[in-house]
Amino acid sequence: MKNETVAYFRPKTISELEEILSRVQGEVNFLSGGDYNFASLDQSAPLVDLQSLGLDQIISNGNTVEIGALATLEQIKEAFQGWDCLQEALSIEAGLNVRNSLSLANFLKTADGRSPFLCVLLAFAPTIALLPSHQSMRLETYLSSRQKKPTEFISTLNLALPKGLAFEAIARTPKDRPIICMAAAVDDLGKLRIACGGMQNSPQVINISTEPQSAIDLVRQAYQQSTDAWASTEYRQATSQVLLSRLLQSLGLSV
Amino acid sequence: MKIQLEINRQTVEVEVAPQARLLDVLRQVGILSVKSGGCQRGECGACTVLLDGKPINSCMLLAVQAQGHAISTVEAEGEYLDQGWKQGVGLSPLQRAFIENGSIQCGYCTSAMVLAAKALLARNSDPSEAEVREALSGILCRCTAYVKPVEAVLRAAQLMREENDQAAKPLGTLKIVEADEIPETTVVGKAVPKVDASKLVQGKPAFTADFAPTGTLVAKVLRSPVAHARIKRIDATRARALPGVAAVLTWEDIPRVVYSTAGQSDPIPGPLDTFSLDNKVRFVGDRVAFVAAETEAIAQKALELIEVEYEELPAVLDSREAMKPGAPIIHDEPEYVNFADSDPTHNKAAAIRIDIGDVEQGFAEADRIYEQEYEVPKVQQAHIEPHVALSYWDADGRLVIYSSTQVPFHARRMLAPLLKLPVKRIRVIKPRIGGGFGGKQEVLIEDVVAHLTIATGKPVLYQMSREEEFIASRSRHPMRIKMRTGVKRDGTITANEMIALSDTGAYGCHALTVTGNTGQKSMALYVGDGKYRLSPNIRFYADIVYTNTPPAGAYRGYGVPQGFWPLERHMEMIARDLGLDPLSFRIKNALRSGEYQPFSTSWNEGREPRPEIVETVGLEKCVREGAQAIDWEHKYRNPEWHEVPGKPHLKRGIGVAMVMQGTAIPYLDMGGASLKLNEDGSFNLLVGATDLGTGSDTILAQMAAEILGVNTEDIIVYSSDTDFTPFDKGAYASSTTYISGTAVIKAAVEVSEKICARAVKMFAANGKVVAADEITLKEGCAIAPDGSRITLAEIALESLHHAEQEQIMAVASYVSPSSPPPFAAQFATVLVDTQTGQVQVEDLVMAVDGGVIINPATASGQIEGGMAQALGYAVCEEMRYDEHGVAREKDLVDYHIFRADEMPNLKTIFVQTYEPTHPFGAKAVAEIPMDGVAPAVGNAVLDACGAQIYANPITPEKVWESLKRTKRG
Ligand code: FES
Ligand code: FES
Repeated sequence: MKNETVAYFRPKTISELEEILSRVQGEVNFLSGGDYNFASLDQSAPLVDLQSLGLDQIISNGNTVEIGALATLEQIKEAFQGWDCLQEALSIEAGLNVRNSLSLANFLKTADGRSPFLCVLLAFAPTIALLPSHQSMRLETYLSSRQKKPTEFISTLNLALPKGLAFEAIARTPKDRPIICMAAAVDDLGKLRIACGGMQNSPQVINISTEPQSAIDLVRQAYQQSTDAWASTEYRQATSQVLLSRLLQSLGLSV
Repeated sequence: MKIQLEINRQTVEVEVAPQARLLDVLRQVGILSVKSGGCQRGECGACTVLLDGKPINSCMLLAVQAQGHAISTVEAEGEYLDQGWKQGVGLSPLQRAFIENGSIQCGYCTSAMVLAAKALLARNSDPSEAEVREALSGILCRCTAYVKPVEAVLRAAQLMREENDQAAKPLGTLKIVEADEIPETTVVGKAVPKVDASKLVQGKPAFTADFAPTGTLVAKVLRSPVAHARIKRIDATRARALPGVAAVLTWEDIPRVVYSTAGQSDPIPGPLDTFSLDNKVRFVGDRVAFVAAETEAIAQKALELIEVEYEELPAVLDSREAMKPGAPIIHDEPEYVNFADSDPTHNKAAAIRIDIGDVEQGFAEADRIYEQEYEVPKVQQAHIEPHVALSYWDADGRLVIYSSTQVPFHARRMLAPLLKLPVKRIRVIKPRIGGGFGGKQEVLIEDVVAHLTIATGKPVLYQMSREEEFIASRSRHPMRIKMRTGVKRDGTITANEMIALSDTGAYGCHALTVTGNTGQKSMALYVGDGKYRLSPNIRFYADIVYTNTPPAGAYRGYGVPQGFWPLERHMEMIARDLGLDPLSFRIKNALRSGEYQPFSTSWNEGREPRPEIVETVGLEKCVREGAQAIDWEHKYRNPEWHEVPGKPHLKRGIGVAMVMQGTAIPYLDMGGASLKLNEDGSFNLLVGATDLGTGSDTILAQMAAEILGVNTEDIIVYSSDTDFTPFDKGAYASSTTYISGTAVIKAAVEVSEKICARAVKMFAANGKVVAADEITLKEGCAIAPDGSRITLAEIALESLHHAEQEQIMAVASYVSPSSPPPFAAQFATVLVDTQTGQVQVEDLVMAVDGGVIINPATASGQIEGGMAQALGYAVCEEMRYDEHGVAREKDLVDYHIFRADEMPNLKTIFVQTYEPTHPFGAKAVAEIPMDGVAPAVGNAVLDACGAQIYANPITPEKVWESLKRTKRG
């Protein structure tokens, strides 16, 4: 059997992309940079390679950062100098090769609740922008509705830099995927946002607008039914309290 | 579609499938330095290339995406300097540093490491150790523990900064001390570079997949989704009709021949319970059908088109349920062939009952009896090169099989009946092996390619995916082990009992012998003291049962790590309870030189026992050296050291374990060697021994060179090819240096005698009367007592061309009457977070008596790599299954093996004894590092915080649980 030749496009502008999409019938495979596994691509759909659209830029503007979805995890790590816990989470997430290979877009397609980087990202309360619809949505919303065969692709992830950020994880070795991990960010208004990871399809996010004290119960609740092949609910609930107090301590908050 | 790639500054136009990965296309155009680890999540990094100067995984990019980018591979890094009349550019400083520093073991990850290091040094000419580790963090190496690769990069950085005069600061901090007097040698004992290092560091074609001819079909295997079922109906019609499919084979298409996949000498010491394909599946991942197709995508599609109707049967997933009355019978096939006490009607693959001395009397004489149950997990070898085999018919109608196998000769013998071919029509070639660790002491996939070549007449290549490695290859036997030990108040052991329940999974390969080793090697270490030393009381009973889980098999250590986890945890418990010093308590009871290996008097893998005296035991000195290196005296029982200032939840701990292993299987396993002199005074050394990255080819060359008075460069080693090289049982049981090495030495001695005899005549022709035994072979010459010399080249020319022509050569073989155990003391320090149970291992020290070390670089590499694997066994590696028998671990993300940037400090000390049963005094070192790390870490955790963990790996939740129990108290 000969491999059927499918069309390959590498648009240079969004309008060129839109023109291609209007021409192409049916499904397309968006190539958003390096990926783990291309087996999920539709074998007969055209390939639309997004690498020349300038979507690998990381632009910071005052307090906000726009990360192009084709930026690699390593580009992000390098861009966030001084944000040690984000860098640490990325270092645990994968070794240098994967970080150099994997784009943010493809990371977000498959990252699960055990991902330390996703946990930290969620603490930032980011939004993502989708093309070609130009829709924007919160990252949590995207994560809960991820599809196997997306008709759109992520173009950027936008976040506001918090006043403080902390990350804690428990794992079998220093660079192993965490059994439990938590990230917390505090904004200028003192609002606390905690991502509880280490389980399920994506970390759970808790927003705390009142006293940090209320975090104790909310975090416990987040890990309420967290027994899986890696740890028990009892363990996660107990250690989440330890991690919470360490997070708050490093943010200068106390419960 | 046609694309253009810029590879190593050359534009290459290539026709590719649009969805072809860069990795596959690079290999298609002959860039074979880029390797595949079969990953789905980019975890191994063996496929590294530099894309615009950055290391990426070429399996994570489509070839079309790489258009317009600069791709660099190790093919452009450097080359041989001396190319006959043409001068090459030579190897790069990085490549030279990797060779000189002994940084290459199997070499499967080497090209990737060189590239990652190159990218680092291009932007940072003076990196710190941490920066080097970070640069290598994306490449998993299962052989080296990263110690020597990191050293090599630092050394290369120095070279490139032209600080050649400065010696590189060693990281591995190897120390060699002598317990016995060691004779002077010239080549033996020196850290000479590995004989295969140059080709590996250049990424030359060296591994099985590199030899696939154009047009080779790709094989895939359909695997069972259920744990236990009969195949009621299988229909491959649609798969066969798919264009590009060359063959689909089901159990209905091939001969039904029962065998065992265990690569062992004849007769296989275990049950015959396996078929190439069967009408029953016994674990999730078991074989259902084979496909050969033009491309991997077509083969995959064909698998999806095979219709299978399963009649599901109840499954046994817990070894404790396997022998209960009414348990589902896993092997009900009439062809099943029993071995010793196997009994398939009770799911029993093997049983062992060993009583030494009078165990009950020993217990009766004890002041205290300690009992405890322990558990060890199933773990994976995780060699970075997956199982891979290639087969084709040659022009003479003989089936040629290239295989990444540790046992080419066993493979040939065992495949013959399956394929209905005589042995003489099968040729097995073993090129370089990308790591094996016992996983390739198995005839696991050679039959797949062979059946498909027979069916299609075409070359067929099959490389397992990483997921298949986890769900369908072999692993370490998980066991539940009960310890019971009688002790006098002064610490004298009066009786020691180990009762094991071992889980062999769905097939009984290595079931008996692995579990036999569990008791035979570990329980032999502590014989007791005083009268008990003269007549120890030891019991080892084991049942090895079938379950519907992937089969276990051989894995470095071969059952012994399973024995030392319970034994050394138990010894620690006893020492602490009796208030004894853990070092002195162990030494007091440990085996000493001149004593019988107690098990040799009672058991021999189902054959007649042959009592054997242990001649060399360097254990006490190992303990002294190791304790000094880890600073035991200042840490153990020092409350201050155990605390971390300002962090009361963190506690430090220190632990020890003492271990022994074996060296080869006496009276059974044989190695052969052939050695011939060439016209320039060099030698061809042909060995059937299989260097799986350990450096055994180099060691064999060193021993031959020592006797023949030449350098290792003058020994051209070839291993192994069943057509050309003499028989060798293969690489297992720590036997290559000892068994194959002695065969090489015998051949070298015979050749040296022939050389000397010829030299006598040549000296006489010049009027000089010299006796053969007065001649010394040195510096490539035969030297008379008066210093006059004849070169080996002159002797070769004389013997081949000028007078009384003959080929000076010899073939020798060796089977050993003994199995001298190496000994070791392994130490660990840990930091425990008592609030979360998280454990961080900070230091590992191993002081090992492996006899005389033939090559300190390769031997210390073995120790370092072994310690890293054993560290995984201690803290993170395990394979678990859900209630349907589905694996939790299917890749190297969930099955975490240590990365370069998270390794603890490692230190190796060789305590050299002179083992009199080996011509150079050698024993073995390859397996023993697996044995003591886990219990030493367990003991250190206990020391740190009082957490008693009975089942490894020591995960945070287990530590937390234990501390919680203690608190509840
Ligand atoms: S990371 Fe590419 S094959 Fe393993
Ligand atoms: S030398 Fe690195 S995997 Fe073998």
